[in-house]
This record gives sequence, C-alpha cells and structure tokens, in this order.
Amino acid sequence: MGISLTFGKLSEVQNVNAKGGDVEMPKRREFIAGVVGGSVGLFASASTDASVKGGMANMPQEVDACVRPAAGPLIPKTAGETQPAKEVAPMVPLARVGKEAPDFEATAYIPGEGFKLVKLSDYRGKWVVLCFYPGDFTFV
Amino acid sequence: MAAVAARYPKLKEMGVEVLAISTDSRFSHKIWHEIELSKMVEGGIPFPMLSDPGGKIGAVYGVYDEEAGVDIRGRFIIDPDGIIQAAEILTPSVGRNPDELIRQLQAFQHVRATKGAEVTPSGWRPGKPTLKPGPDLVGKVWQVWKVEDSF
Repeated sequence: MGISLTFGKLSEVQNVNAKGGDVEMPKRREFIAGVVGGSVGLFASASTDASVKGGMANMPQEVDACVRPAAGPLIPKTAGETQPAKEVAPMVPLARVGKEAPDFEATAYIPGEGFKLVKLSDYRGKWVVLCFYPGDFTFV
Repeated sequence: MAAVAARYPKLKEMGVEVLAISTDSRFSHKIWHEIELSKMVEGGIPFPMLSDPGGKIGAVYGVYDEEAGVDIRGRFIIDPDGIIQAAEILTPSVGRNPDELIRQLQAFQHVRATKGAEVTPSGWRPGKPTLKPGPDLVGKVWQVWKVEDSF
C-alpha cells in the first residue's frame, strides 16, 4: 500500500486519508514526504497535523526535516571546507585520539522532535559523546 | 543506550551532548524508542539517534564491521574544539560502563580547565590528587601520589 502511494496522485493520497482511523498511515506519509519532497511533502505534513488532532493528541508533534539524503562522512577539501567523502575512495579510518573528529552529516530521529539532519560540526563548542552501537533491538 | 540515557541528567549538567549512531534507519530508531527504550528510561531517550546507512561514518571512525554489516560499539569523547580525546571500542557482546564514561569526561574537563597544567593519574575522580607535570616532578610521583589513590 505504501509503495503504490509513492507513485499515486494527490487525490489518491487524499482518498486514503479519508478512510481515517489508520494510525500507521501518518508514518508512511512522512516517509513519502522524505522521498518526494517539494509540494507533496508540504501536503503530507499538513495531513499529519490532521491525524495528530485525531487519534494522537497526547503525543508530542514530531516533524520530518529529512527531506534530502544525508551527506554521510565529510572530509576536508580546502581550509574550512568539507565535501561528502563518497567522492573519495577507498574509505580509510581517519579517527584518531588527539586529532580532529571527522565531520559527518546523518539523518536522525530525535524523540519528541522528529526526523532531522544532524551534523557533528554543529556541536563545536560543546563536549560530545559519540556512541556507535551494533543495532536497534540488540540485547546488550 | 538506555544506561547512557539514565545518566543523561548528569551528562547534561556537565555540558555534554550525546549522539547515538547505528546503521539502522531513523524509522527503526523511532519504533525501537517507541516500543522499548521509552519503557526502560523514564521520559525516553533524550538525545538524537543517528542513522549510518552502509556504515560509511562507522568506516571513517574504524568501527564498521564489513562482515556483520554493522557499526560495533565504539565510544568517542570529543572536546569543544572538535578533537577526539578518548576512544573505546568493544565487540558487540559486552556493554559499556556509563560511570566510567562520566569519570573520563570529568578528568578531561579538569585537565582542560587547568589548560593542561594539571593531569589526572590512574583512576582519578574529582577531589583526588592531580599531578603537575614539569621537571620537578620527574622521579617524584611516588611522593605526591599513591597507587591506592587509583581505587
């Protein structure tokens, strides 16, 4: 259902909305907004608002600000500039204690806020603990 | 992750931001948070959960395991200048110790506050003796610091 929606016309999306009562739908619409972006993205966030008023009134309103793919690792190009590392191969570990932390941009879920793009260098001036972990739902 | 979240008030008080990151999508993070993490920690996870599809960021940090296709447990302390001060990398079966993380952060913050004039010996905690490196200290650490101070 979600996939056909991606290619559907605006009117079809509205049809699904009209059925209502399906709490899974807002999440899927957010996903579509992330893929399609632009005007459909605006429409999707508006319809999410409506769903929030419907069945999820007690939940914090979360936004989807991930309307483009994240750049991933960013490597220095010239002084003060960075570029996505995917243009440079092969990928070698650059992180070393005592050296500058390699910058990156990633999509993120921030509980209570929603989906956002997060860039490490935006945290300059603060202490940061960066914790990699093997996966959601792992036991340890 | 939940244990780090439980210590978050302390970390926040110390002016420390936490970023959790795995190869999972942001959608997976949301659902994991919704159905499990929010039930482990009161108020849920208070910091961003980042997505690293394909382990590209993990590869740069030396924690991406190509065989398993996941970022293994790696923890980096990054100072306000963006310099990595500490790294700890564990295989997936053993969890971290958030209290040791806090101890190390306290030590790095102390050293930074003294602009490096004081350094912290093994096991240092706030209130314990520090060392002032310099020619006068050479060969005399035993006079100002005892091994028992580590514990």
